[in-house]
Amino acid sequence: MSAGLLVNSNFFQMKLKDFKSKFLQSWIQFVLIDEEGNLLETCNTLFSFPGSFGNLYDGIPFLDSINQMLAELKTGEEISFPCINVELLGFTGFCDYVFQKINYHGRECTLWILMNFSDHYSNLMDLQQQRNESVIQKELLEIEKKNAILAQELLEYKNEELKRVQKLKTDFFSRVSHEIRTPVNGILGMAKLLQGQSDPEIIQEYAGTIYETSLHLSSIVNDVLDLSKIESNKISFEKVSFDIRSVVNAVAASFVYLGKEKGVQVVTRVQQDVPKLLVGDKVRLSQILYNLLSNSFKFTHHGKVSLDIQVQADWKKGFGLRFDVEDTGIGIPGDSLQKIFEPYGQANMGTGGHYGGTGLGLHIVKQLIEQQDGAISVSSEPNKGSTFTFILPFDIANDPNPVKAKQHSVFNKKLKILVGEDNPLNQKILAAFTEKWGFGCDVVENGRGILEKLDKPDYDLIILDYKMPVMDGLQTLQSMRSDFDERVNAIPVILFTGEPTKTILTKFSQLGVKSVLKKPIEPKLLLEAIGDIFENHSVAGGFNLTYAIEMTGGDKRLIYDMIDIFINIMPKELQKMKSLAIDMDFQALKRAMHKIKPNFHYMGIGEAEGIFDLLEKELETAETSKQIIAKINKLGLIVAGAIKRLKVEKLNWVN
Amino acid sequence: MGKSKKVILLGNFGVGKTSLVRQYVFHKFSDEYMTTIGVRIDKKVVTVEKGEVPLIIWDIAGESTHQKIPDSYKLGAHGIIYVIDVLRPSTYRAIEDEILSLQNLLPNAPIIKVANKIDLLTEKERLEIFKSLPLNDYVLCSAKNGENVETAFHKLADKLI
Repeated sequence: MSAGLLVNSNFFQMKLKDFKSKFLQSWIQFVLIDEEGNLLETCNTLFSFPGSFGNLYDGIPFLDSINQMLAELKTGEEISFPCINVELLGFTGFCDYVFQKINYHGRECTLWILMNFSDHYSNLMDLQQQRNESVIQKELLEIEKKNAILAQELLEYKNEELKRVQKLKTDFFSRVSHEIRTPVNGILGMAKLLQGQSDPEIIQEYAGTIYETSLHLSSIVNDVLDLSKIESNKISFEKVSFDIRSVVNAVAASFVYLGKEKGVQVVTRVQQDVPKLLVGDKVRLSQILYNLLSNSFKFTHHGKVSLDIQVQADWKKGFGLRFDVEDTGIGIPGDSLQKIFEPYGQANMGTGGHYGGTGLGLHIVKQLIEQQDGAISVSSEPNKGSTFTFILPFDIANDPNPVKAKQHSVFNKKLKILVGEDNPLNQKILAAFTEKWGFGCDVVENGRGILEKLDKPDYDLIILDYKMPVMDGLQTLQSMRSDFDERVNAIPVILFTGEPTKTILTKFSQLGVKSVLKKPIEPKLLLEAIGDIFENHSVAGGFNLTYAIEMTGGDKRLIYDMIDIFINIMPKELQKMKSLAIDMDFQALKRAMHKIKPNFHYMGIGEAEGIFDLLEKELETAETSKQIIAKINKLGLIVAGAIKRLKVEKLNWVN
Repeated sequence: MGKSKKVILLGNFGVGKTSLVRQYVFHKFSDEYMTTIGVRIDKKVVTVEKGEVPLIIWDIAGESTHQKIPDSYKLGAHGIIYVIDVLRPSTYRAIEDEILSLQNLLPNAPIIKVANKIDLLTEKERLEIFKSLPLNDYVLCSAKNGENVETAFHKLADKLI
């Protein structure tokens, strides 16, 4: 380094300090604030405070939000805030703030240093803007791409599904055509054979075959129609009050004969806490149970099919019943388990050919359950059996007058029935069945015939077809209601119609029709309807073994023994009761009654049970035995009638 | 009027923190995205059931690998609004950890979670997305149409009084 330079360096250093000071002054502002937030001094580099500005903590939100922090700073300590967006007293830009606690002329103050980095941060902001936009764009593009792939996959899946369902439908229609053609051909053949036959036995045999085949055909057609209703969302559900146990018994009873034939037991168990009366769609419940039991029977060749019903505890959807249909059948392989509820599923599984049926039953069941807000599932083990479990919601009905189980098998008088039906086959069916049930029957072809017959006063019931030539069911009823006296209008009417729509039901209900039944004629349903109308007339001697069958799981030997015991002990027990009543030993009488009452329940003699209930009440307050003995005598008549019939019934249970 | 409360807005970049503040304080909205760097401070006096409270809102730039939030920004905050963008899963993927670390740093500061940009969703999409979100109790907002923006700030103000 030269001497000349050394001489000049002092001068240069002086100038540098000035330059530095001038340079720093151009972008740094110092603001001195006292402890209360009052301005003490400032250099006004970036902005100047007007005299009226007042307290800085009150006027500058940033300072307001950190004043607590500033108060806690100790002398010599500092805190910094980089990159503050500043809009203050005419200055707009980016500053770094540093706050130092200093001692200024013996006073604790805060030095606020504002460093203007607006150029630097503006450049940084541009870069950050580009970077952020690019990241966001990339992310949104990826999401779009992902959604597009998902949409494509969904479309492909839907296409595949559509093709699969289309193929299943084609397979199904060819299968259904075959299923329908077979019984139709059978019916045609038998009808041909009937022509020219005069032997009553052969006619009866052929008619029976035609009837059975028609029932089969009718069930296939009903399945297809149900499916079409379900697929077009046209199905609606009724809310009527019904006795769940009687529905279960009726469904189970229709499998007893089949069970006997196949050597498969049918067992039903309804838990005690299941309410007696529920509100829901009784017909659809029967259909679901019938389809599931029928399916289980089809694939079970030995062992049993059981139906268990219990209240579903803690069900989110409210009150529900859980139904388990369990069988000891061939089971379902795991890979087919998911497909069995699909429409045409059975046809797809290749079982249709061997076991018959359209493969629609389980699909219909699932739809009927789900459309009522229920759920169904299945578990199965090949060669061990399957269990179908479903839950359905119900309302609980009030049961102010509990009724005893109905007994439709016997009526106290030979009912005389007037039938208006134009179809010759239906005429024959109605005549044959009513005769079989022990009723008298007159058949006419149309409403006019009905009105003519009504001049004679001896009919107990009128069965009418809705659609008849000359005068249809509606016109007939309207004429009856307007032109005939009370005697005729007191005769109960049952109506048959092909399509029981809501309008028809309402119209006929207004005209006082007791029951509307759907065609084709189901004799069992007709008998039930007649039973419903005349149930109060059931006679001594009626019995119903449904409970005994349910309780014993259909054990023939046990049922035989139960009937045998009833026949042998009951006359003696009644005699004993009568003696106790005469002696007025009412306590002993109560004990005797208590001992034998369950036997009446086992035999389903509801009328007798009713008398027991009355007797029990009367014994609480009875002072004489006259009324008691009268009731025991009535009981005696019922028992005598029942024993007479049970002696015949017993023969059906010989092992 | 009560003492001022420092409220910090946090969340990934682009979730709409600045738009929420602009909508809340100035009733303005722009579709154009303008990134924030550093912090912008605004003030609004809120009237809630219990009284008036001046909120000093720190709209803090979304953190990224390039831009770390200085600790001093969060110091002394009385309340937090954590904002996510319902359309970008990356903005709420780590929300559980973020909330936890904020609770450790500022244990007395209540946190309001805001799900922004719901105006871009149909009712069905809203339901689907909210089922898939981690945590719950989001205030569903749209800075664009103002839906629930006041609710979010008032909910926090209620907790600060």
